[in-house]
Amino acid sequence: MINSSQTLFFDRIVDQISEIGLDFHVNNIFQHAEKNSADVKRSIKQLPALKGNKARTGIVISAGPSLRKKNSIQRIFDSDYQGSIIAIDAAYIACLKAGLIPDYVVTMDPNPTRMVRWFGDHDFEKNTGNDDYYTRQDLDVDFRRNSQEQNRRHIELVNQHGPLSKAIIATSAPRNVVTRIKEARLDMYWWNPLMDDPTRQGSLTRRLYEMNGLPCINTGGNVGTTAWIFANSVLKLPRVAIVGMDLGYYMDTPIEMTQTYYELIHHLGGRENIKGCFKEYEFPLDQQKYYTDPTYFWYRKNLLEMLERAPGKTVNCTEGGTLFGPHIECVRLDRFLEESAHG
Amino acid sequence: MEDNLLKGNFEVKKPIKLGDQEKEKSVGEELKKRALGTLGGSMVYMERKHFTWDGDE
Repeated sequence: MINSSQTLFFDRIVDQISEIGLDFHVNNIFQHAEKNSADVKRSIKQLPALKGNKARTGIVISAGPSLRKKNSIQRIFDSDYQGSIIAIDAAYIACLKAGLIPDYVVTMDPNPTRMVRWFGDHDFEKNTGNDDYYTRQDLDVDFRRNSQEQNRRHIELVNQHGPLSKAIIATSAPRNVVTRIKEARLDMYWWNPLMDDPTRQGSLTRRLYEMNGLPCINTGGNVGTTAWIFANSVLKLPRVAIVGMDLGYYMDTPIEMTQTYYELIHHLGGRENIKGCFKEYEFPLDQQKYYTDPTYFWYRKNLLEMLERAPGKTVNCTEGGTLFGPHIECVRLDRFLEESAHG
Repeated sequence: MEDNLLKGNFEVKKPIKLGDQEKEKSVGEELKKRALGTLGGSMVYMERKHFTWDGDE
């Protein structure tokens, strides 16, 4: 893990992430937004107003390794929680398998081959190819097994329950994701990802807005943070809990199994400095150590910045990971569920 | 030296298209870009006061 002399090196990588992301995503975002325009019928501004318990609290379900280790979805289902459930795309099938139907499923990543798997992929073999992305997903061993049979089951599950959830979908989503969501009959509510300062001349965000007139959301760099912003600032829920938002890894996860391990080696030009790319944190609730890589560190930094300015209260019920700070309280999921049940 | 000796000694059956080399180079660049892309997160982020924007600022 990182030592003090490696901090500068780590920070230098983190500083480059925004630029790498913009450079990588910008063409896909505009191409996808253009192709998706014919399917844009409703924006997130047209979502029906929330009532009763659904308007009081919400749980954002992200897809970090704790979701499985802590059995978070099953515990939410067993508690008969009545508030809003906002799942990210990667957690959607895990929710359905537990019998928990999310009110909203958030998706935005423009990756043309990987994201469709979260809804069941008709081109499973072609899109899986030599890509080991799913073998580095901790959420669900079914996704690691790469089995056709599992994929078929996922397609059926999503087709069966799709009409009960609303897709909160970015115009940057790839066509195969849009087609799958349409096929499974989730109602689609659209938005644009915010990419830069829209008040500046030549802004890419403004260009996107002028194409389709959809509201823009600052994503924090990942779909988990977007789901939280959606709950906090679009649904305007006064109290939001987050589960599965590890933004890091358990200490027994080998660094070779981390999400950007090979990308980091590529970026560094070798394995020599690879250990300096991982930073340890002690989670306050269990006093256990977890570690993070530059990309998750960047997500963490962005989310903590946003939490500072966020209205409403957010509690982290992940029960592990690296997300803690002065503007987010870490509490046990059971405590949140109990408090929510009593208003 | 070796290059000069070989030059003009034989004729290749299949003409070499320089375009193919260019294509290989651009595939390599594309793979490199794709690899780095994952490092750049799922989406762009910029630090600003408001979380949403609807053309009204």
